[in-house]
Amino acid sequence: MARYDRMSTIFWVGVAMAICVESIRLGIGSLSNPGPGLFPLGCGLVLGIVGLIAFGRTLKNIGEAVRGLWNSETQWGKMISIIVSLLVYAFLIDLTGFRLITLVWMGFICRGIGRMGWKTTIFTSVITTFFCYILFEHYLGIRFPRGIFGL
Amino acid sequence: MDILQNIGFGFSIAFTWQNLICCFLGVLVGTLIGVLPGIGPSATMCLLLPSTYYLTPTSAIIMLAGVFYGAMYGGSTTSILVNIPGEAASVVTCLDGYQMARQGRAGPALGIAAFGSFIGGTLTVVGLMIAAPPLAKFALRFGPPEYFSLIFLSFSILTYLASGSILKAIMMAAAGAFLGSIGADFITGDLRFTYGSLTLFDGVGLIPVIMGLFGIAEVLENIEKKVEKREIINTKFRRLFPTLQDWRDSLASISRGTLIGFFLGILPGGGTIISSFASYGVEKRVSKHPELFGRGAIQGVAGPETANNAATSANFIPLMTLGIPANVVMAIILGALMIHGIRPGPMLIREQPELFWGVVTSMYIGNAMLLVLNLPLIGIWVHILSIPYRILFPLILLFCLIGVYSLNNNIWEIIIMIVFGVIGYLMRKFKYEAAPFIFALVLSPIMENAFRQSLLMSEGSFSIFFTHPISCALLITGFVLLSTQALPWFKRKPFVDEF
Repeated sequence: MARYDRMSTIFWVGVAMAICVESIRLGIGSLSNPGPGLFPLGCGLVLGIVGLIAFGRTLKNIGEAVRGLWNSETQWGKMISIIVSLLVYAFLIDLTGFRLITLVWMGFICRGIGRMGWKTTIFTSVITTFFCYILFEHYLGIRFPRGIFGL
Repeated sequence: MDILQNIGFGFSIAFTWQNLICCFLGVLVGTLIGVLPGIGPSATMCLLLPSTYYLTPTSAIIMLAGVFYGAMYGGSTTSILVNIPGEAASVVTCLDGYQMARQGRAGPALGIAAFGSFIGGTLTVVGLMIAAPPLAKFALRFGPPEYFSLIFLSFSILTYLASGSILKAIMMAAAGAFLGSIGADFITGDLRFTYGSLTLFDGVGLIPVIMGLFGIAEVLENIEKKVEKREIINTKFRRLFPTLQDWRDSLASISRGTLIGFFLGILPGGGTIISSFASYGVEKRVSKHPELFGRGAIQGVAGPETANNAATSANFIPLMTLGIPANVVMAIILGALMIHGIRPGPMLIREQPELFWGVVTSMYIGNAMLLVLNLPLIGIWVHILSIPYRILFPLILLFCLIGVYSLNNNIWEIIIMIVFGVIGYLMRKFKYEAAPFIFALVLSPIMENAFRQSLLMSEGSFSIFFTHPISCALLITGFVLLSTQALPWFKRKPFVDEF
């Protein structure tokens, strides 16, 4: 069974088709005066053609198959929580300021995902935020947002 | 005489306090991240990029280079003591290094890895000094068709040496090349695939993509599994110096490892991982007792560890002479140089001699520092190994966030990093390699520029790539490599279970 390989190659062939359509829309120009779409079109064609060959090989069971990607022990909750927390950090950093969001985010990651005790969580979050402030803002002079609280 | 003068000039640069401190910090951080599984040199160098804004270009590159070869030293420690490679180039060291440790010979294994790395690293620097200046002179003959063909050859080598499926490697190279074309077209000024996003006007940033593919994806991959307690081999580190017999057994392996690392490191598309695997293969093949490999053969540690360090210095040759990064790490160094307004290429040695000779000679100093850091202080690195991953991963994630945000204070670059983190995680699961993707992302703008300029020069004729002798030779070599890859497809093989 090469189900996963079929899925992934079909995905890339789809991406290649989208690239080709958009590249043609940009204008491929001529060989003596290449347009902005020519090079991306070439990339899309290579991706699509090689993807189709790879897909064909999965149908004929040639090559090495990818198997057993996930199982019952896969910790989906933790992975999704990390991704969501990173997104929240990105969207809130300008609003809340660097120091506050870093403190809260570290607390969430240490307690919620790392399963640390409360004391360790608070200690790690405060120390990390302070260290980041000293290193990046004070020493390296990087200006981070202060947010609506001016922190 | 010229070269001696240049070495003297280089040492006068490398021995300034600022450069010595940068070199020490680089090798220290490199060893640390080499020891710690879960973060590699690429992500670390990205994290350190903001700190280089305030350094001179020479100091910045000395520090980043130190991280790279320091990681090669540190990576062997975890391979030998825990059977977990600290970074990818030390994977093969696990096979015999861990077995040596189980037999109570962790000291000689760590010792020969450190000495081999030192010998390989320093000898290759000599090669770098000798090879780079004439190669740079030769590269002055390169025009757009030659650059296009050279990059084509680089892609061919990269896919030829890919550890997984060749087809998947080509697909990743094509996808990376497409990604590199996003942003304003450098000839017409048209915006390509930006869809109104200001962040994408200058293209997709290299740093957010690398942080995502190597930092976030690594954390996601590690966090999905239930954490197993690492078993660290409990050994005394009094006898770190290999015995006379160990030296006799390893000397030829170290010599071969140096040569393999140097020549594979020079090739654009080659690198430390390939060098260490090639060295292990060669050692096993030339050994009179190949059956001992995998059971604690010291040659299986000495060869690969020497080769991966030799390759780190050799990797600088294509970057410093042609402006072509040999791998992802060199692409980051290229990025760091460009941040400082320096475009590496054939003129670099002439126009920035303090940068070239300062960085090269600092590698001698860095390798000597690493020998001191890795042997007497091995006990400290072993203690660092016992830091649980639940403490490490929040720090890795936080440094990724800060590293990307501090580039332009742009939250959309964090979003790009997160997206590529998820993509990178899926690529790892579906066995798509990230290296060709990043490599193409970096090189595709240069390749497209060379391709379009060549066509403009020849008024649309592809013959320009074949009428220029250097370009023709490079293209033919590339095609030969690709076609040798295609030949085995005619032999059908059934699917092989991975487990």
